[in-house]
Amino acid sequence: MKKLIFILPLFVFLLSGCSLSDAVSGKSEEYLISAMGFDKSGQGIEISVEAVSVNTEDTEDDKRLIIFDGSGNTVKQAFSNAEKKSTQAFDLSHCGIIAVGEGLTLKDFAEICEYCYNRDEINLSVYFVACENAKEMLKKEPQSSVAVGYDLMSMLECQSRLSGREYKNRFYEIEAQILKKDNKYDIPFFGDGYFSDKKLW
Amino acid sequence: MAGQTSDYSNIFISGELEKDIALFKEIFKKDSVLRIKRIRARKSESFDCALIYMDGMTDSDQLNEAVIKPILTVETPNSSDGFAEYIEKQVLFARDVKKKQEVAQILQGILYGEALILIDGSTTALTVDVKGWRTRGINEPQDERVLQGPREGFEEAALLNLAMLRRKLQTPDLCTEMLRVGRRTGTLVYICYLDTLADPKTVEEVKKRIEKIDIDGILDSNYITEFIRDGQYSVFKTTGTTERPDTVAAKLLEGRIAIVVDGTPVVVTVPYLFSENFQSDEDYYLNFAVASVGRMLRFVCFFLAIGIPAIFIALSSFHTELLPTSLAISVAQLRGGVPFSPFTECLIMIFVFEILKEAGARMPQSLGHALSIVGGLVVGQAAVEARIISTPMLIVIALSGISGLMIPKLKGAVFYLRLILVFLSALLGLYGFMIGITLTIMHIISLTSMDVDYTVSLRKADFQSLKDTFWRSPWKTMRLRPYFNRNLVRKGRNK
Amino acid sequence: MTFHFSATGIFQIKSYGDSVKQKTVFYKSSAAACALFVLGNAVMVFPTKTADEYTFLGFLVSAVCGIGLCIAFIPIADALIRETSGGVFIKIVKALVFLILAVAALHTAADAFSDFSDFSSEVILPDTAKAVITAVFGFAVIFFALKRQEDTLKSALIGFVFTAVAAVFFFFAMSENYNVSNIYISRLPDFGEFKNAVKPYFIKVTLPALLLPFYRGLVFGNKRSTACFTGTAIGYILLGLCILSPVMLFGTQLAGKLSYPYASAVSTVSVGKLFTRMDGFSYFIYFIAAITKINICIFIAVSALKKIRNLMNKKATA
Repeated sequence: MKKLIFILPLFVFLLSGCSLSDAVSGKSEEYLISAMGFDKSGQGIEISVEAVSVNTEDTEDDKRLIIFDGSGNTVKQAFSNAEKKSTQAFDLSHCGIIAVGEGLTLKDFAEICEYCYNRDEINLSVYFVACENAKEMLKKEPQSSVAVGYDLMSMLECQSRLSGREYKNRFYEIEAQILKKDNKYDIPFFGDGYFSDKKLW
Repeated sequence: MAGQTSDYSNIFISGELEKDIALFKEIFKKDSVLRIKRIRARKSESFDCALIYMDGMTDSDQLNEAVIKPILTVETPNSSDGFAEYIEKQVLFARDVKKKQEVAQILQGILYGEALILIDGSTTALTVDVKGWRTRGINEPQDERVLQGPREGFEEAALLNLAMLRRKLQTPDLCTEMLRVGRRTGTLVYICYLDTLADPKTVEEVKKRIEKIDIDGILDSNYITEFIRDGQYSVFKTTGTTERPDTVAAKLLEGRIAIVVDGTPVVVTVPYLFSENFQSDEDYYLNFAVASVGRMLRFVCFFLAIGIPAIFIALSSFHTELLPTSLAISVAQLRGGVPFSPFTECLIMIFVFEILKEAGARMPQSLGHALSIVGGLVVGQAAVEARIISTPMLIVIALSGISGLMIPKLKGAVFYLRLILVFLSALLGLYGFMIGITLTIMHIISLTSMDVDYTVSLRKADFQSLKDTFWRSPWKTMRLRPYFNRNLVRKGRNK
Repeated sequence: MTFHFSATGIFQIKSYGDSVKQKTVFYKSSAAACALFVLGNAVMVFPTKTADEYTFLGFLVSAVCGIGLCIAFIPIADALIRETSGGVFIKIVKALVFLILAVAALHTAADAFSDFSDFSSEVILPDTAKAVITAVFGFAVIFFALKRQEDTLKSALIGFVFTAVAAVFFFFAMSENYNVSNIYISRLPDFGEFKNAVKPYFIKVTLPALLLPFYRGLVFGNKRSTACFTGTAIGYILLGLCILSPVMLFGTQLAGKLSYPYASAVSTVSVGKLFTRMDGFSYFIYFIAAITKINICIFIAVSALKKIRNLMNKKATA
């Protein structure tokens, strides 16, 4: 009896504090984001988000990739505008690539990194890549994986293995450079279908 | 008529034959099985006696040859009081003859297959062991089959079971103490142990607990188990059960105590340790390397059985970032369109699996084929295609269920723990799972069996204490017995 | 032979035979408990925001001081715990020391409790109410505290095996991405820099080691054992690995900026294609270390308060 008096209120408290309802399964109703791209858009920033749709009812012609884009004066605004166009929330925990387009300044880049750092879901081992236009790059058809983002990840790892050239383009490596106030970033440039050492800044 | 033999405790044989016969007729007035035969010796007219027995419980041939025939030839001894002595020692051909005066003791004998000889003029009656009821025969236990090793199993007669044990342990050190439990059944319960190995405190504790049992009848060893076990409400067993004499003998050789209950082939052994749940009978009959693989697999299967559904729910509901990307995508895709949350799906599948399992155990064999079709097609295919459940959940529950079947001794524990962990994971994800698994481990550690730690191997955690837990070491290295023994050293002279 | 300790529940060692065995019967378990105690909540939060190039040096110095204090206080703890007759003044001093010990133990427990609750609500379950998380953890702590200390020691042994294997594994798994230059020291620190490097470790790494000699005394009584020292040393080694990994991976600045550096470092480990995020293991490490530390602190606090009560009773009857 004593144990029941002790356990019952805890149980009721738990149930009310947590959600045992079907709403908990919300994770399956989020878009899995495989890659994010940032481009300069006027004075602000344009963000393109490559979403993998896992609900087959949601797509047309068996397409499972959707690109959501949004612009804003700040990264936060741009992201928020991109999210507004979507019917489901974004799950950034599986984001593999963050692409930065030409035209972005170092200040924009720092803002992008700061935003991504504050989004706890984005893993520190996400790769940064540079390109001419991130949105156009993400719109391409994936070759071997489900999404362009994962394709790029595989390509990067494969190229590093074959050429022996290890880029220091992981998020934590970039972030460490920012904290050291060292603007020499080792971000590979994706163009013409492969990565090169071309620098954005 | 009183209900228990103990009600006749203060009633004694009067010595007047007619009166005594009338007494037994009165006691068994509604029992048509009781037989009363008057016998008068041919050569002694003063010798008049009556034979009382339960038809069906005695061996007729033995009764005729060992009792009736010899009595018919009896000659007059010197005095009435000497008659009982004379017949006991010089007349009867039976192996076990006892002199009794108290009616309660006599009733216990009659009700257990003994024949009673009432002698006119003698206040002492004789009971003769002529038990002859039919037994099942020695078969291999259904649930404890081995590929290699002895195939004997206990049966319902306790004395036969003790004989089987005695054959394996040919040592005068084997002690067998008898108790009667159950007010109406007076069931015989034998406590067996090796005197120089078992801790006397544990033996006393077992006896004390059994003597405290207050129940009208004991029909199976589980009745006793539920009364004497530690951790009354724990889902983990703290007493061992087996139907194999070799297993009991092995346990006695490790200083444990066996409780043999008449009327059931299931023998209880105590103390019972957590690692015994993962031991199989043939672990000691196969090569140690092979046996160790099986042992380790069983440990892994225990955690798979209780943990996999909970981890899946935690990862798919709360922590999708911890899933590999490709797996996260395929899980999410396969779950698409399912109306239930992972928790609800999991509960449905667990119950369906348990229903199939129970039905499989209890159904007539002729329906087995139909059940496998129903289980496989309906649950496995139709439900998935109808998107009532998802494929990943089906796989998870199937894996968990099959893993649970690897450790039959923890059947109940696995069911409850699986549910509890699933519930905690559904509420609090990995955090709830961590809390649940830690509390489970703590609960296991804190259990005792007859005041012996359930995880006594962890006290010292050296090779000798762990040699027969996660793996089975070769016999050469089994130098010591478990730490609750009086005599730890297994090898050497006089050990 | 039965020992009764003034603790939550009754702590008994039953003799089943050879009394010589009893000396070492809890050696491994108590060493494991001490190691987990050292890991405690320190493994969660270090390096901190103030980390610079001397941070690991600061840790090393703190660890050495911790071990030194532990060894130095062993005879003092033994003397205090031993039941000896003495004057009123001695008894008052003892009572004061036990009171400080109890307060320190409770403070350490509360600190560990708070750190783990914060971690759980920020990282493990960001969408769940903190009160719920704290209540559940509190329930778990109470459940553990009500068990015999013997059971805590056994659970510590199991927890330690998992923690040690995981910590060593992750240290080597992350090694391919280590940047050794992250721990280079360009020059020896001056006193101010040295003080700043050691200071963050003082409260959570060095001072808690003072509680361990008392724990040892309460667990082992008069028996001599090096379990406490061994456990403490192993704990500091493991803690060192757990602090070194994020420093070598991320650099001191980023490691200090991160709220939970070790967990973040473990999240970058991937083994093949299947095991890409292994953060879950770091959650277990944190949980096991925190709950063991809290349990030990509660045991010390309750034992100390009971010692005070015994002293006062003796004083009253004297």
